[in-house]
Amino acid sequence: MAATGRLLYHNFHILHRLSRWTRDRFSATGLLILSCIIAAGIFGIDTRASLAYQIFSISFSLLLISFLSSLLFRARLTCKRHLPEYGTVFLPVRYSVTIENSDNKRHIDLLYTDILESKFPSFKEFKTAHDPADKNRNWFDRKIGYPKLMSMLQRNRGASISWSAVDEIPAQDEKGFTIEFIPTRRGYLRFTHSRVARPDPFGLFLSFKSQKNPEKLLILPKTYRVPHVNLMGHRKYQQGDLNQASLVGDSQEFMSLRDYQPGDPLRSIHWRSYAKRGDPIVKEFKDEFFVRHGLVLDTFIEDHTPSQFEEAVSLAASFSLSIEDQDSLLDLLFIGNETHHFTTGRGFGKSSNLLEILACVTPSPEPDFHNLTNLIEKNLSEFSGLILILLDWDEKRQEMVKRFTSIKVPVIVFVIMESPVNLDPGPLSNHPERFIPLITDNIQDALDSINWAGI
Amino acid sequence: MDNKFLNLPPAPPFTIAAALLLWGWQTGYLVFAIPMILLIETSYWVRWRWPLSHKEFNLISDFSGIGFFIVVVFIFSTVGSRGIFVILSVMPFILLLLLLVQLYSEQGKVNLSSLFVSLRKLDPKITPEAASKVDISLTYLAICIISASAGNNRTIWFYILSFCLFSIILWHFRPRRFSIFVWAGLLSLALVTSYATQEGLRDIQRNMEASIIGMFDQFMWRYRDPDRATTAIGSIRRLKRSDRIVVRVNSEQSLNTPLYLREASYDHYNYGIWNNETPIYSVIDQGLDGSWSLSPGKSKGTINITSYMPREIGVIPVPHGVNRIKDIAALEINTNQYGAVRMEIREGWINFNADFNDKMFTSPPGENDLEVPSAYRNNFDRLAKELDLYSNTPEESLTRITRFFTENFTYTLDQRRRYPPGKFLQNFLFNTRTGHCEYFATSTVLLLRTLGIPARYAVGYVVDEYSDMEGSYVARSRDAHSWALAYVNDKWHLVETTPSVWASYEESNASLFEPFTDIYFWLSYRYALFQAQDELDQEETNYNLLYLLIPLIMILVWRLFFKKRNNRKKTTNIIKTIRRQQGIDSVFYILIDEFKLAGYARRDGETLACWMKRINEKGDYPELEEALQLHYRYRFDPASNNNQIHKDLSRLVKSVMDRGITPVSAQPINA
Repeated sequence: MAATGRLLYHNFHILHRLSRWTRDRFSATGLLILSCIIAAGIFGIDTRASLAYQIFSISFSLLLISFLSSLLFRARLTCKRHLPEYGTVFLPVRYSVTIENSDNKRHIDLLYTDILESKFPSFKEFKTAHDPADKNRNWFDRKIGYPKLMSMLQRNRGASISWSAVDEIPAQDEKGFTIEFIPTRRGYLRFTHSRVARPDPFGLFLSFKSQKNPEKLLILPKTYRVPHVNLMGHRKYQQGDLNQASLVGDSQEFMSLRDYQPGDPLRSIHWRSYAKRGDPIVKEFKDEFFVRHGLVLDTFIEDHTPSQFEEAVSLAASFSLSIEDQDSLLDLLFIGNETHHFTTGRGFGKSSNLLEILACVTPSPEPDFHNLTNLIEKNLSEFSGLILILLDWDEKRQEMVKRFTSIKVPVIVFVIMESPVNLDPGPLSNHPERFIPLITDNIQDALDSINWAGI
Repeated sequence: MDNKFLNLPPAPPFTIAAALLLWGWQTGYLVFAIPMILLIETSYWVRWRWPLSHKEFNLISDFSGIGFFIVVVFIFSTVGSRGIFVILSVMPFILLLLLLVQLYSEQGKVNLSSLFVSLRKLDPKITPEAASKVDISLTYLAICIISASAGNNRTIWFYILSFCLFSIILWHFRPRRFSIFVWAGLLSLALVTSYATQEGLRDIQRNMEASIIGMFDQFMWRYRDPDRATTAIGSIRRLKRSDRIVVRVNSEQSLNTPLYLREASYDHYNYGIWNNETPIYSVIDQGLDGSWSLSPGKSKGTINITSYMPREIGVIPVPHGVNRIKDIAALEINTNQYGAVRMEIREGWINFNADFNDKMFTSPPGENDLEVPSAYRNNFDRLAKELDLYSNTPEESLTRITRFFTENFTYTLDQRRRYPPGKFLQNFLFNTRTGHCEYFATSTVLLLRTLGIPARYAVGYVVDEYSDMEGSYVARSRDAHSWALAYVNDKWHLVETTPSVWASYEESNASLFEPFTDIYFWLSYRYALFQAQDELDQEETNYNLLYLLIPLIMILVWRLFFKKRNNRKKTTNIIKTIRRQQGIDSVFYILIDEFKLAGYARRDGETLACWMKRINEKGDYPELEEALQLHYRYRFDPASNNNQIHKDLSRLVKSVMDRGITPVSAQPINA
């Protein structure tokens, strides 16, 4: 059975390359003529039974001449693309391209596209992958798996950039135009080549001029509207200097004066006292206390679907954006290939930094709750509360949550599910409003219906 | 982006109409094509458009799909596997609704997801194809052209018109960057290339078919289709048939004339293929005595036939006048109206007795037996006029046609010249005048039909070789033959127009290893019989037969190497000792030997009549024509008065000999 699967996989690989080459190289009319060749070839296999072989001959000769004449394409063109800083998944991304014509003749009826790096999934990835679109496919497609493979390939590529028509580039001149595409996944899109195509005299076959033009564009995860979450916990002492605390909480509350110690910032020097005493005296402020939340992202995908994980990432991104204008800190914690802990908020990185991190987060195939729990517990003393975004509500996850609730840490749990299931809040039974199951297809509506004030 | 190179553009104006006309003309649906054209072309003039939702598009697409499915099932159930071309020819009907919906809808295009159900449930965000729309008018045009090819109306105009349609499409969507001259030059190149390609494809098929048939013939048992026979007419190659013994015949009386065993006959011809359009098979009831009576009437004789069944159901070779099959445990025997006898029995060698009489076992002639395909009608009409056959009675026509072919044509298995489709018979009749039995039989049938004489094409074997080793008459694979049947005076007659040299010509191509292969064939035949017997009666296995094989092999080897084997391909003297055939002592052979000694070489495949005609080109030997006629009667006519013929023939031969034969050095032969 495995051998059959592997054979199918290799055939799919060949089929995909063939199909890709065909789609790239033939114009729409060229594909029609190619279809004529195939159909006439089938019906004309017996030259006595029909005249389809004559159609085959005509179509074949036209494509052959097209192909041969396409080999004569010569052009000195330089392509420059101007990408934006970020894009967001499923939102149109626009960028401009300039083609410079160094030839002494004009070029007309050209086509342009950008090639994105597209890693073909390995057999293991193909076999273990779960495609959410499978539920909409028929039995045969699900069983054979070719649409799933194509879907994986499309996801790896991240977007489909279609051909853009370039009507004319005058001699020794340049032409600019805009390309728009819709990214289908978060993370980096890697542009590898710029490609200019020219149809042959019959307009059936395209000849290429490819130019290496590597660039990458970060696609951020999609986000939802969420309010700032205040878990009504205690403000915690945030160890740090003025740089971190100068505008937060009670940071301006003066406490006393003391002698200067090496390392004290110059801005803390009390100049009047310094003038009186002749020795530097610095101002001492009250220690900082303010809200700091831990945002825990469950990356242990196990047998859950990629769409669950994507929604979890989107929710985490939404919370990271919600602190933008708030006097608080947010720590993102998750386990990827290693443990990750990033802080954002006053004096730290911007929420956009967190988005960049979330854009590139990948699921962890092996569940490691022990490490995740340790990571959270290590920083628990600094957190006012925890926001956990989980992919399931099984015993291991409930156990983890129980450890935090038992030491009175305010916890809010979001469980991302593929389909609605009645779940017991378990360790959160005292605060059932802080246990929020979300269905992947309906997250925004569910978030809008939450009474955040009551949390 | 709506770019003509990236998305399928709509068909240029009036091109669909042109394609439909081509289709209607080719397939015979012209009556339907015209209203279809009106419906389609009106859409370009009428502004009214129908607001159709996505779901309605899906429904119409599904309806067309179901319609296609129903048509496929119906056609396959009525026509069988050959219905694939019928389906192809009706494709424009099936897809018309979808095209009209596109043309008259506000959308003006068809959703790709309407055509492919698998795309309907997919998210257009992830799969952009699910939301894309296509214009199907150009696709419809292409389908019309391919469907037109199913008409198989073989004129050069189909090729020319198809190419023109393709050219119009290309002209419409050509890139602006190239000059018209470049475009036209390349198109001319494509025209030449495509013409050469289609010619080449036809030749490749012919040669491949011939090679495959040859291979099958050489190494495997051949299966005769009683409803279809593909001839080698038009094949550019040398036909090669194997020496395998395929039929064995035992008769109480010696065969004075070659025995024609028919397998099938056909009534419809088109471009190298003979077939029966509406064969009707009827099951023969087995009599109480276990025999199978095919036709009423008394039997005149019985022959024992052994042949091989490559499948459990197959055609058996029988004499033309067969009226009863007996002494065989067949499961079923059925026959069609054309005289093919099909038997259901186990695979392998079968042996049966066939009673026969003078009345040919086949149905009376029908309309098809007078049909001459339009592509050949003029040629045969011309030939009939040239031979002045229209003024003759049917009997006279038969005689004249037979003489015409035997005297003016030569037999060959080699065809090297190439002709346009449908021109092979024309060139055979008027130019080359050389070919193998299929050319002769086909031409004879079509010529007879032109004269209004019902005729059919028959295939089978000619049994003419007696094997001392086997003790029976045998027919080899190379003895497969075809001939004509003519209905004259309310009776079917066998008409043989292939020059009589064909058998010796075939023999001359026999393998050097034939003696050895004959042993192998015989041993394998005996072993097969032994196995069959063993299966039937395992308790009484006759193992002695195996031991008997050893001395038998030794005897055979001795005969092969130390005694001249009886074979008719050797000299005339050897033939005399082997064959107990009438007229072998004809004095005409003396004359033939004398001519040979005088240096008059007989060409390969040249009939005796042609050779004599060539010798008497200057009228030096006026007796030759009459002497040849007498020789033929003496040699082949069992009903003739041999003594009188012998006397007359001797007189004529003596007259030539007395006058003396001029040596060839004194009278050079026209090379």
